[in-house]
Amino acid sequence: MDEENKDIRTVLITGGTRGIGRAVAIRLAGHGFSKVLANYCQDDASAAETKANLERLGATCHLYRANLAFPAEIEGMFDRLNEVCSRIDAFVHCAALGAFKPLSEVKPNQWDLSMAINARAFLHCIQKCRPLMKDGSVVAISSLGSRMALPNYGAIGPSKAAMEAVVRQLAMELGPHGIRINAVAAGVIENQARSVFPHFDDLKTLIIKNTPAGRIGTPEDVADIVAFLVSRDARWIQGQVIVADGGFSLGISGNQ
Amino acid sequence: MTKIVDTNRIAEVVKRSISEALAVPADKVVPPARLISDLRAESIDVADVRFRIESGLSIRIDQREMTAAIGEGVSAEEFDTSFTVQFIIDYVTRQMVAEQ
Repeated sequence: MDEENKDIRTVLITGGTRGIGRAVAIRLAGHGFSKVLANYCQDDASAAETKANLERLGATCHLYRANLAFPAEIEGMFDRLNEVCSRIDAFVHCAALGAFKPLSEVKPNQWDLSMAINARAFLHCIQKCRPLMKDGSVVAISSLGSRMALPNYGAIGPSKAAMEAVVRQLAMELGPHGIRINAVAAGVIENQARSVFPHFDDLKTLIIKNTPAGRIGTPEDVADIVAFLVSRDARWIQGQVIVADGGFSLGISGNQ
Repeated sequence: MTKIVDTNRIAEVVKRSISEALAVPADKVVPPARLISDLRAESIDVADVRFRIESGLSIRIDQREMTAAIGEGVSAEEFDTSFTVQFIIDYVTRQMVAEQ
């Protein structure tokens, strides 16, 4: 297996073929990670397109279709992954799911799905990565909803808060073993939000008006921060949640 | 590997998946029941139903293809009328036959 070659750096990205996950894959493939293991749940076409993009950048890409809501599928994904990989240098959890509705109206299965994919699968994947990571870095994609009340954010906020608690706890437990674990709490990202937030255009106007940066975020904005966190330059950052929202969470901006 | 398509089992798994995901009694999950207006399914619930069917029958279902099978450009009302328990049973059966 080529992982014995120390020059080949490998990253596993859940939800790695669309949105933020795809941007992270492309960003890392262009900056030192020559092997990308990309998980996805459905949409074979997007997965194939992402793989082709990565290969054009000179990276090797392995696709793993697995539904992270089911622990057995995570186990199966790692069984397949172990056939081509004996070392993982970075793991980025981008997979996410949730119902965009008032939390007071969330149904039990909707709560369970958000918790399963946003928090439990994150923990499970780290546990499976652990034997493959010597000195490694983990980044979870969180959101402002972990700390702020956002309209119609359902169970996503609580599940992201659970994810961030996992980040802190595991940073303490695995830090002594050379593994750094951090999160990026992203503000609203245009491409994803458009399809899921009710009344997105009104929300976008509100966000831009209250963001010092004067615009809404892009997947690439988040991918650049992930690239920093998995790099050696971030070696002194451990167990932290980096807010990346153009300043939206600071308060009322007054942009016109 | 050729799978044996057991239509009774497909119907059983589909109905159980709908009942469990939507938390509705099994006797309400009848073939003509409409997922949205009768069983109160939301979009994430449809994904949940799909996940459970996929797990129960060891198949993959493309949700966009499944909903597109109702017809391109249909109105929300027409979609609701067609998106029934029986539609899902038939769609999954066709998928499993096609996989053989």
